[in-house]
Amino acid sequence: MTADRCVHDLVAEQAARRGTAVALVSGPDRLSYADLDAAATRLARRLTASGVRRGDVVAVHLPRCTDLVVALLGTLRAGAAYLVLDPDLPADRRAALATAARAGTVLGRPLPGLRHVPVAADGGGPVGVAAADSPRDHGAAPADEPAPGGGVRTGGVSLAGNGSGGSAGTVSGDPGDTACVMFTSGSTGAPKGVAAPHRAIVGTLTGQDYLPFTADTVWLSVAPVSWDAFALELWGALCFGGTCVLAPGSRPDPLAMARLVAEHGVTAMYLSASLFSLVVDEYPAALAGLRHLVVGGEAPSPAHVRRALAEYPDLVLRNGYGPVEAMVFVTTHPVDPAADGPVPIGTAIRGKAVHVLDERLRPVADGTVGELYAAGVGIAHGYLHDPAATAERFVASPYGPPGDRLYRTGDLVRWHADGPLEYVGRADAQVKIRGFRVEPAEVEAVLTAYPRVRRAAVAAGTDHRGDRRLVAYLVVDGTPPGVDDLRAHAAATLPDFMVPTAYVPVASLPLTPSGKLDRRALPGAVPEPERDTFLAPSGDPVASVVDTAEPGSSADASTEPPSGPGVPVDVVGVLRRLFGEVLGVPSVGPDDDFFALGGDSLSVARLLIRIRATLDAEPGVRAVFAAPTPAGLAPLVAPEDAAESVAVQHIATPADELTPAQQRLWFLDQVDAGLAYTMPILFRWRGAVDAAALRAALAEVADRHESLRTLFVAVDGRPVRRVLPSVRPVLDVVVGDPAATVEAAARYRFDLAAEPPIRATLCTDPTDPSAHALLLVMHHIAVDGWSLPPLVRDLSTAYAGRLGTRGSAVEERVTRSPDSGATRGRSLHMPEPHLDASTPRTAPTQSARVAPRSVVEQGNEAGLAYWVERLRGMPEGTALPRRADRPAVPAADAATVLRRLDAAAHGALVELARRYGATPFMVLHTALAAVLSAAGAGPDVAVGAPVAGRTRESGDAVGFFVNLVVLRAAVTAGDPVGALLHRVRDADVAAFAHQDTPFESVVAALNPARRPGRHPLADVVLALQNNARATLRLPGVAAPMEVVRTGAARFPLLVDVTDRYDATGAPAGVELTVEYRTDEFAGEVMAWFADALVAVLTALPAHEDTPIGALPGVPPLPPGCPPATAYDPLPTPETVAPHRIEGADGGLVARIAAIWADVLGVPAVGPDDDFFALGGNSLRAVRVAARIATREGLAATANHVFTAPTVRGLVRVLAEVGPAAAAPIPRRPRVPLRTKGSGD
Amino acid sequence: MGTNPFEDDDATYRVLVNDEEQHSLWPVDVTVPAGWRVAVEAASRADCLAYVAEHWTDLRPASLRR
Repeated sequence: MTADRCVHDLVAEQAARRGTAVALVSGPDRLSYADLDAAATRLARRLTASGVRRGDVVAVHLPRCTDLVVALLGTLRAGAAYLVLDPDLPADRRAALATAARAGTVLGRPLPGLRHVPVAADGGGPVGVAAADSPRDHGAAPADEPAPGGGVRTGGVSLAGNGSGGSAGTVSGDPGDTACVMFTSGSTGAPKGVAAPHRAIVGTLTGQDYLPFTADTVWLSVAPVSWDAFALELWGALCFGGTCVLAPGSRPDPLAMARLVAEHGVTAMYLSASLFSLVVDEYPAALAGLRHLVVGGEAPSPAHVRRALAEYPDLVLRNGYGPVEAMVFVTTHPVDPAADGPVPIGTAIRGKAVHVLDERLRPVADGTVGELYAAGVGIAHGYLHDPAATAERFVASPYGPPGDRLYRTGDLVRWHADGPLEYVGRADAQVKIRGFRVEPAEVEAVLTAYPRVRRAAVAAGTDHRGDRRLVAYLVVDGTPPGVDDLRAHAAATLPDFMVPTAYVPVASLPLTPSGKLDRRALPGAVPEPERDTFLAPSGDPVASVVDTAEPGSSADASTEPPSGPGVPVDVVGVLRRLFGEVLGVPSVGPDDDFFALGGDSLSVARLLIRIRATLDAEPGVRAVFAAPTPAGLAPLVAPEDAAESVAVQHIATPADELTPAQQRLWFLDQVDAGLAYTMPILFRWRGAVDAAALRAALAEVADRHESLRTLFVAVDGRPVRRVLPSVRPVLDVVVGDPAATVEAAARYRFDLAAEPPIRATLCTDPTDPSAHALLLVMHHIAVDGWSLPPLVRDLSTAYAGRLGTRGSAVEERVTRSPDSGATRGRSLHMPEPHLDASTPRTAPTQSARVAPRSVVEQGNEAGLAYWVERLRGMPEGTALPRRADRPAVPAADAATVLRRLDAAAHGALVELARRYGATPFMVLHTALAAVLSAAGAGPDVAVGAPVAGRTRESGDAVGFFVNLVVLRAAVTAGDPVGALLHRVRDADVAAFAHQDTPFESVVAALNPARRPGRHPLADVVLALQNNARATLRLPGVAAPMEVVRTGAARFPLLVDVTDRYDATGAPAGVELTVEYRTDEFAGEVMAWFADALVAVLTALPAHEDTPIGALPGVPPLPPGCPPATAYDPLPTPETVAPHRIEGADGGLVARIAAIWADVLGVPAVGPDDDFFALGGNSLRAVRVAARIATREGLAATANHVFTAPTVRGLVRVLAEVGPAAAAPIPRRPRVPLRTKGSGD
Repeated sequence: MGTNPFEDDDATYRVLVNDEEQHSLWPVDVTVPAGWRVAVEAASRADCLAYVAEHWTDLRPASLRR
């Protein structure tokens, strides 16, 4: 049978078959199968030469890295079994485990008393393994060191003369040989070493279908290296030719995980149920792109499972169950998102069996609770050097082949009729903490070894979050010991998951009538860590703030907390708050220990995510363990730029997930909006310029603003943000005609997956060498209008800093000028209802929201309901005098018409707005509605409007936050101006009160017909540019920003309004830019449109009672104006797909239908079913296109799905398109990624 | 669900051994499964486990040791 093989033989086969394939990825290291196998073989020879024999146990003392894997494989190849000793375990425990396993040799880092063999031979090491920052372990032991020094060899088990190597120096083993020893908590007070044969590993992986054990699977290894789940991640990849990406460290770091998943295209992963819940709560983007996920260790939360599947409907999610004694999984269950209640543990995997038995070892009836006994290929030999414990847990089987054994799990389960197994609980005291098995007796044994602790009882309680924590109840003699001392004592010998969170002194422990500890009588909840009690961690509860400008300064250096805008962040204060949030503790002192307050590795992960979101820093898991207090962590959180102002922090997006607004823009970029979202801005001045300083300043600005060094990478058609640690934006230096240079450079098309979304051109006029033009070109996904003033200000500052004229740029960061907020806050804000005292004051709450947008989205059902109600039944497109010869899919080519209102007219409009409790925007909207009505738009007029989308947190951060709202108003020519203005105001007030609802959600909910080349729901857009103007300030120069148009239109018709105010705040005039698609409208019609708009705006203030259709001065429609039409009817499936598809392309139709069904999450898709009617949206269209391109080699784009939204139609379109010349979705570049502080 | 049949300190047990010389504690009132012989007929739990500790010195299946 194929499963009966040795692990290393399967890996060697893969090395022979695909030697150059990447076996391992670890930080910057890549190791091919050939190199891995060669390194392991060399190591095996050295192990054999040093005296290791078949049947020995070799301790491998390394963190997760390529050397660890070389060590494991080399050990197996030498015929020995490996014991992984995680360096993160306490030293005492590592030593105890090595002793208990009677390991005589240690690979990797030395351990006292064990013969040390380095993984790599002296003198350079195996090719491909070495990397500058991988942990090296060159020890003193030369390869030919003679047999055992101080180490203890396993007595009685090694077989002298048998298998001590062949000519290859490696051992041909038996699948029954022990491959690994894994320790688990022991109920007798000492850990138990589970000795598992090769057969158990190989049988668990081979011929299985619960996960894809194939060569094209990319695994991410995040499980603790001492777990059996690590064997799954590692050998599940290496025995089958797949790639295993090794996450750094042994403690969960979802931020690092998410990056690795995105960067390496990870497709399969195992997560403990508690880590899974954390990821879903805090960082769901870490699952983006993943295909297969198994959750295990304990029962997963059904709510989290459902949320994950709702977010990633393509994810194949299984619940896995199995104790280490039966190797990784005994049963698995494919999760059905529609099912209610607890997630079942499923049915046995191939080669394994489960029996649910009663107290007489008889099978129980379906639905009756019994104890689970596991059998089959995964069963371990037993507990190493503990035959008695083995004989009571691995017992004779009445149900298998003669002589077979069962492993008695202690888990209580029941069968569902005809269905899977359901987990019920434990038959004994064992508890699971974050998926780790803990026998309370083992913890109790450690605690009672402490002076004055007479008795101890340990039980699992639940904390504020519902997570299980260990609570120790102690009977002590005399004065209770300090909790810190107890904790330190426990942590010195126990792994962190076994260290109790709380310590409660009790007079006595509850006993059963027979005198045993009555665990059920122990309290269930984890006590709140309160101060001034036995439980209190040491530390001053009164706030003290450490001066963060002095890294390493310790606890008591208190200063007053700074306050006010633009001051350094009180990093310690922020950390104290975050500690409290994560731990559910009301007040955290600067010197309170994270772990003393109940922190564990999962809450560390949670903390890290929040630190990144709040402070834009990634200290890494190790930093928190090394410095677990707010004061201690602060210098690590802000390493160089010790004090950064809140204002420059990017928005608290808790993920590498795109905001809805970014998703919208990313999608438009993908469907080839061309240049429409390229944002060029120009500065011109006379004087000197230092190009090198400017280039350095650009890099500094990009360093500072994350959005300027963020790539948007498509993973299976889904966008994921990838933040680069630093970038150097391009600055082209040109001597040439400024106008031509700028025009050409402004038409830059960014590849969002491959380059930072900012670049610049510096042009000097050869006829006038003192005249310079600086063109900054950005992609809208990284900046919006509100971003420009802070960005340009930072550029000015950085440039000055580079020139050395104004002190260091870092100082400048500390004292940010607060002026931008004040400027923006002036009168003409994007309309908000609070301008009118009579309107409901809902907006301030909305605009002051503190949650990031993705969170808001979840809680924004009321907003969505408003929009669905408000926009239901809206006509598709606006009836306007469109060109008769317009193409079906209009191009983005744009033209503009410019008009101006003078200061007097502007003043009259402002005054009119004031009289009606409206904003100038609402007056503009009224005027636009009147002109659209005059143009033939009919009585139901919708206008799109961008809103800033900024919160207090986003402040003046550089980024793309803009949302789009659709303003709908009833308009007839007979409406008096005043009445219409009232109506528009009321409609706008209500709409802006719901401006937080992402436009994408509204589109998804309304599901209007999608049309290629068109923005859904928004045909005509009105924008009031009320963001502050940017000014580039160079030494001696102040150059105002000029907007450069790219010639590409985002909308069919955009009315872009800029209003100006003089130094006293008085209205100084309005500029109107009408930008339109030339495919859609004729120039003379748009000239009329602009003239009519000016005429209406001019007439409004003095004609409040006049019907808007009868305002004076409004010109008639130009002669020959085409009739007003909305959109053409959508093509029907019949017209798209006329004939004969089934013949040649029937197979393709079926395959594409299958892709649709998969992406849409529906059972089947017919050839004429409409993609969008089935729940498709723009992002899903991108996914479909990506898969078609990958699997069929056709150059499909999302636009094709829009053009032909049925499978049959799409096949026809694709037949014309032909094969993909290149992948239509830009491939992600292999830019090296490093995370701060995560290196091992 | 009563007490697990292997966890009753007051009950009487057997020690079973199979062809691989693997040992198993076994409740005295449950039929001995096929492929197992009785090494200890009836004894206390502690005595049975002491017997196992003394006689089962190598966890590996016997076929691997031969």
